[in-house]
Amino acid sequence: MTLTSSTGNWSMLSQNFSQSELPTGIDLLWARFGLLGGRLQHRTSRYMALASRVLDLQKEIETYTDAALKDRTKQLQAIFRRGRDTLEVRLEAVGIVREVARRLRNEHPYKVQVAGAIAMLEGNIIEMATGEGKTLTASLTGTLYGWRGRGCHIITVNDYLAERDADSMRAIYEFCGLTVGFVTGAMEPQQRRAAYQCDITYLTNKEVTADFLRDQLAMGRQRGLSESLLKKIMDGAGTNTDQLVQRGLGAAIVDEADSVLIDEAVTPLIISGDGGNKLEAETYVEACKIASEFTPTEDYRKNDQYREIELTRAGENRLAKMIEAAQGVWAGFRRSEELVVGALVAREFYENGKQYIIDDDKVVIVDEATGRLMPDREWRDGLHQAVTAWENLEVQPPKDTFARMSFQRYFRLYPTLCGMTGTAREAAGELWDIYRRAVVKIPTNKPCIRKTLPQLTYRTQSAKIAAITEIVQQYHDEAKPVLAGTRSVKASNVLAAGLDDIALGNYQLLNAVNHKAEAEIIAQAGQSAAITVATNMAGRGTDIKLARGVADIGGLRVLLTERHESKRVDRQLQGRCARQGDPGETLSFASLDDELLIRHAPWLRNLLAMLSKFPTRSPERQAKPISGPLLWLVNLTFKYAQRRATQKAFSQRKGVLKTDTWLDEMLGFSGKQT
Amino acid sequence: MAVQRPTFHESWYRISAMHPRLRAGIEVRRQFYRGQKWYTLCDPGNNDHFRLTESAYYVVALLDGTRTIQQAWEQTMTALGDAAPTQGETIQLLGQLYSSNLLRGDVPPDVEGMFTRFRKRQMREIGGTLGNLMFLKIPLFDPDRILNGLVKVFWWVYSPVGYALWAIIIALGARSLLGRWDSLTAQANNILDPSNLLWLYVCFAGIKAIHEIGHGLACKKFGQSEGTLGEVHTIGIMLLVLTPMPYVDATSSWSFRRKWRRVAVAASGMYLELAVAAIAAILWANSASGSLLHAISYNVMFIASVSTILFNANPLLRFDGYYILADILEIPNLNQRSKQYLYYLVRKYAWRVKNPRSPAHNPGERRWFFFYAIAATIYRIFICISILTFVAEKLFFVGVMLAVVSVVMWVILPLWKFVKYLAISHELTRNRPWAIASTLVFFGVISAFVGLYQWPDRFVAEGIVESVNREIYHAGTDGFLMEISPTNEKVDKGYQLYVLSNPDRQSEAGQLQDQLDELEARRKLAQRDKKFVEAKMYASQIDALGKKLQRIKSELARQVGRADFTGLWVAPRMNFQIGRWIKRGDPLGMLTDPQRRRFRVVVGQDEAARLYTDRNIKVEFYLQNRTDLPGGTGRIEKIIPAGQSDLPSASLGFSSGGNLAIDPSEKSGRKTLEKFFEVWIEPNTPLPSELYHSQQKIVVRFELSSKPLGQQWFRGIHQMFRKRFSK
Repeated sequence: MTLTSSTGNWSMLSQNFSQSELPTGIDLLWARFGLLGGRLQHRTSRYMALASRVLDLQKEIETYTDAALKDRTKQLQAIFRRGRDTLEVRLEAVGIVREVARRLRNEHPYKVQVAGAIAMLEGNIIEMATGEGKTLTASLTGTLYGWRGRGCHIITVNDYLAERDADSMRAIYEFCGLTVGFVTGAMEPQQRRAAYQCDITYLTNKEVTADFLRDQLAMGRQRGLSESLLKKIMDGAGTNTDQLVQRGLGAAIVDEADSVLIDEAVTPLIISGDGGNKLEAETYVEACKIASEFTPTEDYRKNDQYREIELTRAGENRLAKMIEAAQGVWAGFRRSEELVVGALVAREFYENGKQYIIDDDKVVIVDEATGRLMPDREWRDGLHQAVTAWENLEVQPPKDTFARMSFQRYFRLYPTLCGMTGTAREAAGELWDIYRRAVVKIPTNKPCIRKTLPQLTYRTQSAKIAAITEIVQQYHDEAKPVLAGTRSVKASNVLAAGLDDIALGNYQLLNAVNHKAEAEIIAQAGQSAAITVATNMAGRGTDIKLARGVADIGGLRVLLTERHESKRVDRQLQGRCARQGDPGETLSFASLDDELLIRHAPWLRNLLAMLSKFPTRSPERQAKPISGPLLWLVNLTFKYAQRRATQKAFSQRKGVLKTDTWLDEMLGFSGKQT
Repeated sequence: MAVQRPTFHESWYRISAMHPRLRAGIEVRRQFYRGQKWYTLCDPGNNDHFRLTESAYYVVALLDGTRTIQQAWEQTMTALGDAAPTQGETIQLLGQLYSSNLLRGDVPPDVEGMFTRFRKRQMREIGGTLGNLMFLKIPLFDPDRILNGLVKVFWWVYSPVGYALWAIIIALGARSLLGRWDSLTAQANNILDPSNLLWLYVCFAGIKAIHEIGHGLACKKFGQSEGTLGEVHTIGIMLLVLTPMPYVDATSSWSFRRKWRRVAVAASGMYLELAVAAIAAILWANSASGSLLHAISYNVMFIASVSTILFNANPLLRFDGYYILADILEIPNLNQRSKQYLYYLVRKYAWRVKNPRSPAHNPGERRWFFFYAIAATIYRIFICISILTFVAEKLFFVGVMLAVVSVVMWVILPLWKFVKYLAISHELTRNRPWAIASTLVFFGVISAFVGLYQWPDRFVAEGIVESVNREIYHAGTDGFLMEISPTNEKVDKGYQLYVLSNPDRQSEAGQLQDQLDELEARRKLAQRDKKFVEAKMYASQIDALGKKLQRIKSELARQVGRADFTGLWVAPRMNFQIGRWIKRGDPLGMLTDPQRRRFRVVVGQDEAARLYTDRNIKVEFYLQNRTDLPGGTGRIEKIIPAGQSDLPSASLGFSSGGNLAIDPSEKSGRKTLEKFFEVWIEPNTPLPSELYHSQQKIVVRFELSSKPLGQQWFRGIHQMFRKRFSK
């Protein structure tokens, strides 16, 4: 154990984790030009041609006995380990692994899967429709990366999938002479270390990043192989290097690459621990006491859009009077104002059951988008303490941050990074700019026969809900399965209430449960007459298989109940139906009250709201979708709002990376950070 | 949260446990600016300066290598309360100190990062140099040791003895110029004479070298008084608009504690230069006119006084005057911060950015920032344009290159940054629509004003006054001058101007009359006698003689000259001619009509073209240099088209103080280099004759129909380019 662990650790220590700089100015233009050039060269056809060559090898490989096949894998492993693999060797290797998969799982990877595997081998991000067998594709690429001997991380969306995929692909890897492991949140360091020592490790982005950060912390400020070696020689066993769990970063295959590398990219992962003193915690209680004497509009103004509180002159005077004779923290006006404003923000914008719940006398954050509980996380800058104080719970001092890293920065550290997702086209620019990875679209094995119906736009939210429930009822009566995707937990509850109103009680609501149950419910969504209401994030990575007979009545119906901030996410939801050549239909609903418009195209929205009232305001007409000449403007507005939202988010992510780089430069005296 | 300076920062954990300290050898000096205490950190190795507020220095001073940043920060918080820097500010502060290489960390430094920073800094410097092609600086060597030697010999220059000596020299120099003002200004015309240019430049370089050494010596001398070495590590050559000039880096004086010493170092160049000017003045006054010494000392005097006052002392340019002003006002970085302040005002009031940071620390600074920023910007634009046109005129290719670089640096880059700021800055996230709208409205109003508002379009030309009715009276016949009206007298029409007398002719006329009378008598006799043939013969004789008499009589009638029109009779000195014999055709005098005048105005080709097309021209005029007198209006009588190059009067030429360049090879001084149009202007009302003499210079202002300013500017620029570059 010590031996293997040590051998692995050295590579962690000697690896140079420096962030490459983002291109700017002319460099950026040149980089974009490279992207354009890459598009012209048409990668898809190149990889499809290479896949054909692999398929041509099939006849010869089929004749191998199992023992010969195993022998060949050993030889190939040796070649890959030495890094002497040429394109020919790689194609043969893919062919061999494909044959292994066929023999062990009776699953013969399709040509498109082979093409995807080769594309990933060359460091691309592949766009592959849902249900095309991404797990198997990843195992083809993963085996070859595993043979390199530097470890390969296969990043999944959640712990359940990590375990499931590792187990289902285990046979292939083991036949090829590789070890497989997986990491879940509940594991102890010992188990983690063992999993990381495997050639292939299945795990989530959160686990891998957290382990990396913990290792960095364990190594302390002394980084580098030579220093650690000296320390080890001097201090003997049990030094900090023995606490490391990872063994350096080799290759990563990211499943659902767009959500990991883009959507979740800037949420930093924070390793924190207890800190501060009890006295500090008291100040938050005092702040709430002071803040409770403040009244809105008179003492402060609130800004709902940005969740901000601003004291008025009167409020400032009141505060100044209240802290006149105070000591300590309250002696200074600025700090006092900060504390009181913080308390007011907590009171005005944070609601029990919405942003947080109380569990075991503790405030637990609820993710507003997915509805998941996040017990490990805390709001920053005293907000968590303020919320706790308002709830009259015992206030714990703020935790000290020990390390912090965004996924964006973490994944940029991998020398080899590739990924796969159902929707990447729209994010090609960003993936290229930030990760320097190209997107390759892999065609489907069977042609897709999904029907996408034009969007229906209603004037009000209630009209939209009514229309959705009506159509759900209709599909239900026709025994067609329906999946209604919502944007947030709140929206899913609203829709569920709407279904309750028309006494359609037998729906499945999926918004904040554990992954395994989620996957099971989602897997059932293809049963005839099933109704599933789910947030977009729920049950990702699980296929919806159609029950017998459902294909004959048109397959699964996916309802987009609201447009998302990026077209990519809309497509993720649409991709839930019509997989593997099955029939399917998607219908999207929108209203002028949608948050997308309110936040990203408020002027146009108001204009539309005004125009749509003409010529009549009869209730029947209000309940119908917008039609006629206004329709093109409506569609244009949605397109515009979505584009703006995507652009805004991108520039924000880029800004975060830039700030990080700037900080690195400025704080060079604190040693090198990753 | 809408709190201006949040106490906490999310990246604090990265530095909280570190114990860095200032690098050894960094000098810390306390300075007071406008009553506020500041600390200046100075790296004597490269004369880098870093100014810290009192509270920032509190943190830095606590960092002694044993305290952690967290401890130092907490201690500062306890001591200073609200004034203490927040976590974010501390991060920024330490980061800046670190990237200026003033801070030493407690871990082995990130060597790679250090090199990256060094490279970046180098690139920035190169970029800055290229961006400032007009003021290219090329460092040459380290003069520190030489100056150390010099200051041992010349320290007294900056002592009371030196100041007294200086005052005496200046007084003597001024005295030597007294009463020589005329020759002083007269020689000024020749200073740009091609034959003098080389001397001028040699003097210029020499004086500037003395100027720079003055800075260096003062920096050393006062540095010693301050207890530092006043190190001067760079001397080099600055290409000031492609003209090489010496420069010296005396920035170590910035850390002097006493403000007047900083001022003295900045002023020391001019101090020496003025002394040199005074010595040159004494030499000039006491040398023979035309000698080389005379010429050179004039050059020296001219440069050391005029250029010093125009350039070095001018606070709007970034020369000595600027630093003196900044030090006297106690506002370091006046230029940069005043620009920031203007920008801050725009952000705050025009774009309604919430809580922008003002670069001003107190109200006094604010006022200065405001005025300085506006004045300096206007002045700099003006200077840049004049330098560019000057260079473009002399060196076409270099000029165009410089213009392109300058336009990129001063117009396109700032514009690009501005647009980028408007489009993506985080600061404007909330009121971007408002900011963009207000900016668009502002520029819209300006461009509407420039592009649409009709603005009077006028130009000015010079010409001469000419009388329209001017008759020169010549003697109509030979004769003695009997009478003549006194000169400069107003005469009415028909008034007798002069009388000539020719006695021979008069008697001839008498004789002829007698002969005629006789012949007439004879003819009558023959008629009566019916001797018709004879009578006919007499008649023809009478006819011939009558014609002769007639001729003589008319000649006699011309003995008296009468005024053809009411006007001024000018016959200077003719009263001395009375009694003299005057030959026929000799001029006797001139009658002019003072009421009617014509102005012959010389107009360039471009302007004349506009006079042709415009139907609605107002013409105003006044006598040159007599704007105190009422002018008048007139109308265009005639435009004599192109091809002219002979001026109506030499006084319009460059050499006589006119506006037109004269062909120097022509002796007459009336041949212009460029062809021009002559425009005749007729005044609308009679003019007072005693003021508007013939041949007098006049200034005429043509006011064409109003046009938008944009159109006028475009035409002006177009013309300038055509003129400058078509040659």
